[in-house]
Amino acid sequence: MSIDLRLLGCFRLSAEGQPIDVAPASARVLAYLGIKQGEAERSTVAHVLWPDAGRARSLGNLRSALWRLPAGCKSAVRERASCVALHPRVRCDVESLLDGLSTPIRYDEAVALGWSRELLPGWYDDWVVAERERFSLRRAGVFERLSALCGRAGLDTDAVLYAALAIATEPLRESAHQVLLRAHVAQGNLFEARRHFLHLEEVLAQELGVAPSEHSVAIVRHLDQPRRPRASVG
Amino acid sequence: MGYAIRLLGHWSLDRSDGPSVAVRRPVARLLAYLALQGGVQQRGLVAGNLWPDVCDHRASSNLRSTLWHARTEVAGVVAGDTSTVWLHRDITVDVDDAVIAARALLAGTPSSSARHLDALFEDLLPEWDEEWLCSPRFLHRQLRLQALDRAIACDLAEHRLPAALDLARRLARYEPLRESTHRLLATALVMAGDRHEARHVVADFERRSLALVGLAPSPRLAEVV
Repeated sequence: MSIDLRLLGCFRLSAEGQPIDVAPASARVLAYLGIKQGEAERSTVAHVLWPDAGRARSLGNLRSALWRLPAGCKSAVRERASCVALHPRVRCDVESLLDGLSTPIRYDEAVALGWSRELLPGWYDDWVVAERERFSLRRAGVFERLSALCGRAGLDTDAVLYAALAIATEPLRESAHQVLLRAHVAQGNLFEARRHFLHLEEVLAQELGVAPSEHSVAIVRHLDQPRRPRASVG
Repeated sequence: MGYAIRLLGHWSLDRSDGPSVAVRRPVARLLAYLALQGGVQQRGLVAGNLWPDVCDHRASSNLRSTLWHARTEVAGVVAGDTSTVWLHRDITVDVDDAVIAARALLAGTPSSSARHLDALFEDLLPEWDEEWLCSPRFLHRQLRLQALDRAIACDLAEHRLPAALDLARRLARYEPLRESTHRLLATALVMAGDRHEARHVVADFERRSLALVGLAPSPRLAEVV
């Protein structure tokens, strides 16, 4: 039976494509395990999810949350004496996104998969806020890689859009701006490239007090080299 | 009573039965913010974004009074509870339609069957100076321009020349320094048998680009003709 865990956009657990109601405490455990990927110590999970309860109490809460997983989904969590993990069979969208990518995925497919949506919107536990920030940075890196992969495959449109997504969510990552500059140049939109470079200069100066790296400058340097105009049309 | 929020080109709040509703600026800012974020938003987050230069206490009090004004000026648009605020679900937002249109074009829908195509020629609240607008505005602009270029290219690939020429000319007028669009326009003209006009487009673009921003076009432009 296929079990899907969606954490991007509204939380959703589904089995064989059918959404399943999950008690809030159980949902939090699933979300935590989906984000962390791999095994987690019970005591760690318990402490993060129930930071105000004592050790015994929080471990009890964890046990109870796992016990309350709906009948069809008990197998979603693999339990051992001291560790818990999502069962490898569970497909989690966060994991799919963060997995190493070697082939380009089309931009509209990524959007359809929900990859540009916020992680667990409306969840405001401290641990979720922290994980959301970490995830955002890692996702920006994935979008940058996808932009470069698409660029190399001649998918210029997708390259620009992935780069734009990376920048929109993490505007201070210079690497994201670099992939955008390259993508604009690849499309021949040199004015757009230069204008964006000037914007990058401004943002870095204002927010970080630094100038663009030599790497960024190199992408646009050739734009300002004077070229003789073609002879006019006769 | 449904309302429609317009964010593309300029702000407007319209009743479904016609007339525009004037609201005070703080209310407009709140509605625009919620329309863009979508869903249910935490009060603290909304207040912090709308009033970044004052302390939390002041910002949250500003939000409270703005919500009060919103509910008195236009009932049924915004709602909230002790910790969150949101737009009523029957409020339509033009950006949502524009994004759907852009994605349809990117997926290959012919431009002639795309709904809300006109919406793709406008930027998000271009005259508003708000920090929280910067990223969405940037993203939307890239999305709509890529979608329009892709629509022209698809029309060309399927030999829908009148549609391609129409769209290319229109976008080129709006974006006089966008080489990709002018390259597509020149290609469309060549395919339509008008190489002479295509050369003019190329030469004009080169002149304009050099004169206005001191940039020579990429070699790809000249290759079209």
